[in-house]
Amino acid sequence: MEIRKIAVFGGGVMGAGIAQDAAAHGLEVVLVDRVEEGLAFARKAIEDSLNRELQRWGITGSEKKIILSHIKFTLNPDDVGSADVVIEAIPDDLAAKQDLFAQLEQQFERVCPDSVIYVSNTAVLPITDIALKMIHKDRLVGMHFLAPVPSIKLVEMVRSVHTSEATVDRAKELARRLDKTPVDVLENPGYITARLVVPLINEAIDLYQEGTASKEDIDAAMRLGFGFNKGPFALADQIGLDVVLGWCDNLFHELGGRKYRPQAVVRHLVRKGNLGVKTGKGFYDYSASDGNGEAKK
Amino acid sequence: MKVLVLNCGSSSVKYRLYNDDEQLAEGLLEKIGTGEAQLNHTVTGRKKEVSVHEILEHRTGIELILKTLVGADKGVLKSIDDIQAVGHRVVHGAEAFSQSTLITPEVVAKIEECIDIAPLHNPPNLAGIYAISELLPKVPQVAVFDTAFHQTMPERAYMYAIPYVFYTQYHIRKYGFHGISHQYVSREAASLLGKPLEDLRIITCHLGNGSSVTAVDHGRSVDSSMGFTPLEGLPMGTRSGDIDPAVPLYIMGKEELNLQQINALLNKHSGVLGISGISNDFRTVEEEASKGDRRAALALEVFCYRLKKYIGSYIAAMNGADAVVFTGGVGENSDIVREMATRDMEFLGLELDREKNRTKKRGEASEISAPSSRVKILVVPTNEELLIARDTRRIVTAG
Repeated sequence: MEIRKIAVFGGGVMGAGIAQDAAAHGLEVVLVDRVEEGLAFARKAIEDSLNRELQRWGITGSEKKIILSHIKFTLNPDDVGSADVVIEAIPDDLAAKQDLFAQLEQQFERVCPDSVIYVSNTAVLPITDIALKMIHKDRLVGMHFLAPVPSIKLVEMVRSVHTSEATVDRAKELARRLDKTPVDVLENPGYITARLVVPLINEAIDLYQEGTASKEDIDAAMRLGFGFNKGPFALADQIGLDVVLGWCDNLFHELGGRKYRPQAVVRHLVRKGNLGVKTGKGFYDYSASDGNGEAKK
Repeated sequence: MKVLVLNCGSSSVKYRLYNDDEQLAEGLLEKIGTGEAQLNHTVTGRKKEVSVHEILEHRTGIELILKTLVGADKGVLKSIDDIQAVGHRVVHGAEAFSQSTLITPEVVAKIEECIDIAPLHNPPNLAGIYAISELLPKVPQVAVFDTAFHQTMPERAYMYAIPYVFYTQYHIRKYGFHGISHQYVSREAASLLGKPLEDLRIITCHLGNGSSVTAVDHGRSVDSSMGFTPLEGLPMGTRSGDIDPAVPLYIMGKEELNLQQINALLNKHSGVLGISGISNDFRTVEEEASKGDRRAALALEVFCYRLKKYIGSYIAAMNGADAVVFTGGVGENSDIVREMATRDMEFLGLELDREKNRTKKRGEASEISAPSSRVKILVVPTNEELLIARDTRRIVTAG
């Protein structure tokens, strides 16, 4: 059976991104959030993103309408009906995720018992722990999408100790349907992406703070010198400094190396609400940019 | 012989049922993949019937079409076994197919190989073939290719001047499209002129939302304006057509566009829509131009000027021409386009009869050139499905 319909729980940046990308690839999507503000945020995020793509000639006005028509926004989980894949994209809180999957399993086992799989979009939590309260633990797999979901062609496929091959295959089918390359990774903290990028960002901050080079020059050196799409500061802004901070905290806690220790400057920027591209300000100022993540020069 | 003709798109199936050349029914199933797929079914001589169904894939869609064709109320067949052959429109046959072909497992495998260069079109065409193989396993099927007619193009016409390795490695060359239409209207034109096709040099202009021009030299396509993809050639509703290849590279650099964005820019935001900023529909653009919209007028001028240059260049390629044929939605219905594209071409032998051009009846084949015109100018309605039905009949009968 081809994957046709997915349910996404959680209308934050990741949930909205996954919903948009799936709809753009012709899937039917139901996006569920607990509160009206969550749905409003998701709807606006998707519309803004599609408008940017329209301005950049990537889609047409009618394609935008079609994509939006593929997404149903709702507060009521029962509106989902059946689904081929159920994805969770709520904040990284272990207890909340455990409870959510226990509930979702009850709900979907009734309507689509045979083929449904469950996906967590966690960036840091062990999938085995998230599956704790589930009955069919083999049906849960981690798919770590990166933001902005529509333009990043990677998904980290994270197995728990219970995840079945059939579940992984099904999740990979979804990844390929979204034109993404799945990479396999064990559920060790940070997987591949966060584990490698956190020390890079931390070291870049050290370089900058000790006065070795400016942020702009550090970014330019990594872009031009090593073919990075973005240098470490621009990258941190794009990921979101709150997310980076979360990754640092988790990796430092789990693995203990100094290289993962959250930097004071990141904590400070997060406290001020300067989270990067999404708030218009982070290491760089984006307030006058085209909304495409290009800093004001 | 009763032949079902299928034209499967990514989310639609067009079909026509013929008994020899007589059309019994036609229809269009749209929005496949949704719970609200819409079937428009018309029995010849009766009113169109519209119904909505949950159709998630081509196979169930085609099953619905077959059921409708034998249904008690809207049906035209006593039994599904009355269908003696099925003809499929297949977009890309690459270099593997130079004519319509009886479908065998080997043929299916070759069409599957062509997916690489026609990723949007061949998969739904194949879905139709798989569905019929399952639903009507004993019925012979024929593939009629959009590219096959152009396989007679000489090397000098189809080779791009880039390193030869790209031809051998990725099969990058001009293929040409709309072949079924160009072939059909060139035959019809010959019969309208009362001469054998083999004695004529004809330039066929298929003008619609997608447009192409073909040089048909004694019945064989020797050049066509579309290329490796349908993006080359004339400007179209939303496609740029011919362009300095440095332009997209320059824009990509300036605007930091990725491949998908530049691809959409050239395919979906350009052409008549891109210049006019109004519409990809020629009727709307003509209307706005007549009201004085400068960019709408410019879009038409660019389109017609480029068309005129293609006609001129194909006259050169064939050392003359006996007829220029207009077909397709725009070619058949826009007297303005026909007039602008053939204006001031007396030197090359084209003289339009402006009155005949303006008063030409819809849906009829007719000559619109002046009696003194050395090159005849014709309007011939296209009918790709009929050609598919005829080819299918011929191949299955010869079988």
